[in-house]
Amino acid sequence: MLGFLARRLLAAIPVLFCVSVATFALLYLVPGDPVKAIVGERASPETIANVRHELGLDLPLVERYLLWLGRALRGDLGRSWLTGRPVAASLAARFPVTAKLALTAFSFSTVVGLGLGVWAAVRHNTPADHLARILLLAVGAVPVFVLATAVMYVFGVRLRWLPVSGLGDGGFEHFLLPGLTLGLYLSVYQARMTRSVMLEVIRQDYVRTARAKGLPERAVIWRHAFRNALITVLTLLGGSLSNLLVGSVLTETIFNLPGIGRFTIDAAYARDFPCVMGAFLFQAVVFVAANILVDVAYGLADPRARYG
Amino acid sequence: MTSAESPTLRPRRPRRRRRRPSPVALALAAGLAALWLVGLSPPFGPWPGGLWRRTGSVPPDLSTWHGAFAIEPAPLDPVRAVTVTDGAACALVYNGLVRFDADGRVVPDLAEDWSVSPDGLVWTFHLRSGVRFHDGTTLEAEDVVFSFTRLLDPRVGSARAWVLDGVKGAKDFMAGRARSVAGLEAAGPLTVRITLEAPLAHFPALLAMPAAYVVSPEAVAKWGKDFGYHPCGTGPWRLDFWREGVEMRFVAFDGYFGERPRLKALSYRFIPDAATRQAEFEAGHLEVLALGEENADYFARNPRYAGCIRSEPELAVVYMALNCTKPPLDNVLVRRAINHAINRRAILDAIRPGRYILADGSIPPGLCGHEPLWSGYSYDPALARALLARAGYPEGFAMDLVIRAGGMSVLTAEPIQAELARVGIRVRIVQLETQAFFAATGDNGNPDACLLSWVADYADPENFLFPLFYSRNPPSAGNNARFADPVADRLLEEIHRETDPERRAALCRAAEKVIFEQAPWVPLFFPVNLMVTQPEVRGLRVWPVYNGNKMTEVWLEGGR
Repeated sequence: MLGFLARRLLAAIPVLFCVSVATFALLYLVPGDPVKAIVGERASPETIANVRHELGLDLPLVERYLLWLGRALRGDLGRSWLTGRPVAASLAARFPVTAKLALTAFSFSTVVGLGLGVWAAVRHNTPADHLARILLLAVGAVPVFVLATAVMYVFGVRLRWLPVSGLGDGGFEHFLLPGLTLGLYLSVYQARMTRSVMLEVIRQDYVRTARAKGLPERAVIWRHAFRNALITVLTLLGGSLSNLLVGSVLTETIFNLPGIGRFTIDAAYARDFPCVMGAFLFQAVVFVAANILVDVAYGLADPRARYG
Repeated sequence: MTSAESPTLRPRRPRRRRRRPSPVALALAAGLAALWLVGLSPPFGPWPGGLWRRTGSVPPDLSTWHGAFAIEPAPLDPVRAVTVTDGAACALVYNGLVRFDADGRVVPDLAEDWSVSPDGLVWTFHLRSGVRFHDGTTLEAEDVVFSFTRLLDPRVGSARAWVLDGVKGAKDFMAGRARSVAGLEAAGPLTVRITLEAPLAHFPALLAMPAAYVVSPEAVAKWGKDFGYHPCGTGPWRLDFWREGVEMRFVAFDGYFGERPRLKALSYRFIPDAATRQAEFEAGHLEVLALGEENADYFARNPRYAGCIRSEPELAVVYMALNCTKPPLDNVLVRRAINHAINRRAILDAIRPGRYILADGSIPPGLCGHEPLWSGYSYDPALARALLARAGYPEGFAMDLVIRAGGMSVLTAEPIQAELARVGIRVRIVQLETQAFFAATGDNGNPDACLLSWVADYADPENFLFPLFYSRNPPSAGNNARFADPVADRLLEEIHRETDPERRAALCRAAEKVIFEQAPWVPLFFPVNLMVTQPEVRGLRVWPVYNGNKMTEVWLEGGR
């Protein structure tokens, strides 16, 4: 197990390296002069040269990358070119927001999505199954900004049960509406996937055996069928969680939550290189970590799996 | 789960349990641990911290202004103030030697009065005595010299250094050839003398810009790079706290020399999405909402907000710049044909008449010079076709129109495309994201035409002529049409020298006519500021120049 973890962590290093190189290269390919974005269009050539030098933009590309890498390895992701804030501090301030949103959405979607999926599979091809499918497809087809604005108006503006938007003091109530909105979309996907996986499993011989030996249906479904479906479902959940943890731009923007997603998109639009590099690297780390966790969870769910 | 089988014959559950925690329990435990860790993170307090609060039951706080900025301002440092938001936030904390009043005129601020030498070169400002910075230090002439020198310092790299580059010796200092700015001088403890390279009639207007605000040298030395997060000026408001991405809050500064604010505090949340701002406003959490095309009618029909909607022309212009150096647009007949081919009135009526005023030239209403000599091009497609034929393009031609993605641009660009198609000009609309747009329309780009807007930095017609049409200004300075005309240049230089307001206005009108006869633009609209306030908002005025507003006379009346 420890050996497995060590190997996976080692394998993550080239991944992170590649992500940082690719991000760095892409940043220099997109149009727009970062220095002009900072000093404005009417700056004197001396000022432009000064700023270019201060930011290290007068160095060759490879040298610039190595400088960044050296600092990053020592935990220094630099300062934002536009706001002057240390990138690491910004990420540290914003990750909790994204994490809270992700966990709210994830817990909601897992309960609803898996529950609905199993429920629909057990009743497949009955009116209940069809109704569930239609409902799920209908929800999934509504754009997030429409649903988000609607719940914001109903629960925030009209009923005044919950905050309309924003972070407030970071309390749970500020994450409820965005978490449920985001979770709802996720649960559509999870329910559909769980249902099809469950249908596969339910047709297996061992399920028929379990029924034949007189187990109550509840035990057949949850202990025999679901347990075996879980292996596939775990992959799904892991993917969902890592997607959530790297930030959900639209939800964060509409509900005005300053998380990782908004930080990244703002930085990319502003061509704020240190912020973009830091954000992408951070997201890669989160993504890799989430995937390792899923692999660990496989072993726990499936006794046949070996950490090899 | 319910089951069809009879529950009475329930067999004993087979216990084939492995002594291994179930994955669900494990996931739950991991989730809780994560929650706990996240909840402990310092910036946001404990996770379950807030109890269930009905937001509507919180009594309204009438001593605090609740505002919103669509974008988070840059650090509150005058040398970093570039956007309208930056300038509006800096205006709360800092003062300049002069400021704009509610009519856009330049009036005294830190300077009680000033005089100018007969040759228009030497400006002497007398400071108020006893003005205090937020850190308790007293304002002196040296502080003004320090602040202005700092703006020009190439090591500071301010995007607004051009504001003072007309001061004598500024160019040498900016190029690193001098150690100080020759034209900036503290002639006494409360006397600032500024010498210019050449006469600049609108110099006081430049000094009212956010870039020319005065900072406390002690605080700059103390905070260094982080000064913008610990701003220290002489303004009516002092920064209380600033939570990244969330909110900034100001409290009234007790030692302010001018009119004391009527409110105790100002809170501005950063809300990027317009629909979210509207929802917050309707929930009563914001005092003012700027209206756009999509929601102006909604509020106009709502009886709750009757009498709460204000509109005021903005000092800005929306236009299509035609590249005067690129064939076939280098031909004035072609540019005139394009002007005649577009029914601007119809476009305006289609997109929202209340939000815009039709523009024939570049100087917005409300500025001297706007009883224009120039009357604009009439809508006349037949004439347009004739002009194209005379220019040698009877069959028309193809051109690109570069626009910025999002917002109004498409609504304006598509009808233009349709109108020009009728006279044979095939327009391809190129939509670009902001930075790519600036790159494409900047000095290294060479677009056929682009859709742009220009917002006044100061309330002077010169600001709508010189940056936009002076031949030596590159596109990055405002001359996106790459316009060059010797007669216009002479007039624009003369405007810079002329101090008499009457003659200056006449010169501006003349220059506008000379320029637009050459049709470097298709002028489109002057925007109108539309906003709705909560019924309890009192004393709020619409300021022609955004940084005139120091939020001192605003207050909130009664209950909600």
